[in-house]
Amino acid sequence: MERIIELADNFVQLGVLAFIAVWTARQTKEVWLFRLMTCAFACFFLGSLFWTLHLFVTGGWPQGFSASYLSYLGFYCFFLAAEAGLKEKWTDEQRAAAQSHKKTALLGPAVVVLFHIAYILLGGRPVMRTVFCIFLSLLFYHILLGFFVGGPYRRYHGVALVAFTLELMVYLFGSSGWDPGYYVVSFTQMAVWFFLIAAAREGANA
Amino acid sequence: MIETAKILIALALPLCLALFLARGEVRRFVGFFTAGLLCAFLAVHINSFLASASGMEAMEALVKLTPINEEILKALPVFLYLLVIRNPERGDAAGVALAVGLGFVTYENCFLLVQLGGGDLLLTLIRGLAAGFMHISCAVLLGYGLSLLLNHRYMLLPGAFGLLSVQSLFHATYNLLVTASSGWQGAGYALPLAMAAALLLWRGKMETESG
Repeated sequence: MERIIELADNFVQLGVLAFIAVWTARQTKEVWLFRLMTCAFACFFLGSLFWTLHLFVTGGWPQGFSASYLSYLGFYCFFLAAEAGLKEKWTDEQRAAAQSHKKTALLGPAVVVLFHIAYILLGGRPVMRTVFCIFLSLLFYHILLGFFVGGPYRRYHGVALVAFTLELMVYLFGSSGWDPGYYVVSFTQMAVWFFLIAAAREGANA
Repeated sequence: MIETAKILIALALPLCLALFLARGEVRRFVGFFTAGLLCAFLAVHINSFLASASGMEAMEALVKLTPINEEILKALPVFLYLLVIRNPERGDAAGVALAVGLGFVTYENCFLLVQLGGGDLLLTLIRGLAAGFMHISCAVLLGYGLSLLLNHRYMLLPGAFGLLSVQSLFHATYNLLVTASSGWQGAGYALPLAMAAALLLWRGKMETESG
């Protein structure tokens, strides 16, 4: 039963990610932003595909280091690139606002580090997740800064904050072995990705 | 060790001579093609070192370590080119990546032919085509991706890391499938074809948008 739920979760994730990747690829405004988001979701899709194929080909999930970890790194990197792109478009006023919010935005990395400590205390494997923690810290910092600066992408940054906080919770529940929590958060996160795209479209149209 | 060096010398020597005679874009292509050959030579040795150092079995290393190592090595000449040339044009990065990918796959196919000896010709042909498409698709993906990010200074580094991750994942999935039983092998050989088709579609869309 557990294996079936796990597989169902994987297949739903594959379907959702493929749909989102195609959806973002079809956007015509702010093409660079949606192209980066397409790459991010396509990368995540490839990771899920690798994970699922590994089960079918070898009869088990990958043990130890797995190439599918790269999908997380790629995913964060593309979102970081998108944040950098949004920053390039800031006006002088927004840059000045960002200067005054830099210290407050450090709250983001602090939360990520707290989650990481909790993850290690719950028995998670720290090496690869420490790399994730570094990338997520950077991402949280930029998302929070973008949220404080405001502008047309304020809602996008708000939804991104929720989405990536859920990502941290997925790690936490994954390491604690509390499956119901893991699946609830995982499915909620998939729904939030749709809101993220919608918010990005809203920002691009503004 | 000696065999791999012999293959490199046989392939790279005429190209090195051609470097002195060629000019302009041809010279750049030949140079980066040779760099691709060298990267593949290095990849063979680093792969075997990593497999023995990590204590993994050959098949496990082929899925976990080889893709990452090979894609990083293949990307290095392209990154070096972007670092050295201050204002590269968009098409240059893609062309350079393509040349490196072609060089890489040429060496790899020669190495496999020598290693496998007189095996099944059809299988060799299919394997060569699939590996060729896979390496070239990955290289072109990096090249096109970087050429899109070139004008955005802050997007370049995270974007390049992201593209490397996509390449390595795709390569790992290909290796996972082609090292499995025959049914999965077919899917593995078809995967690069699908990737090449997707890249052609993407390129067509980009050209329509820009033109």
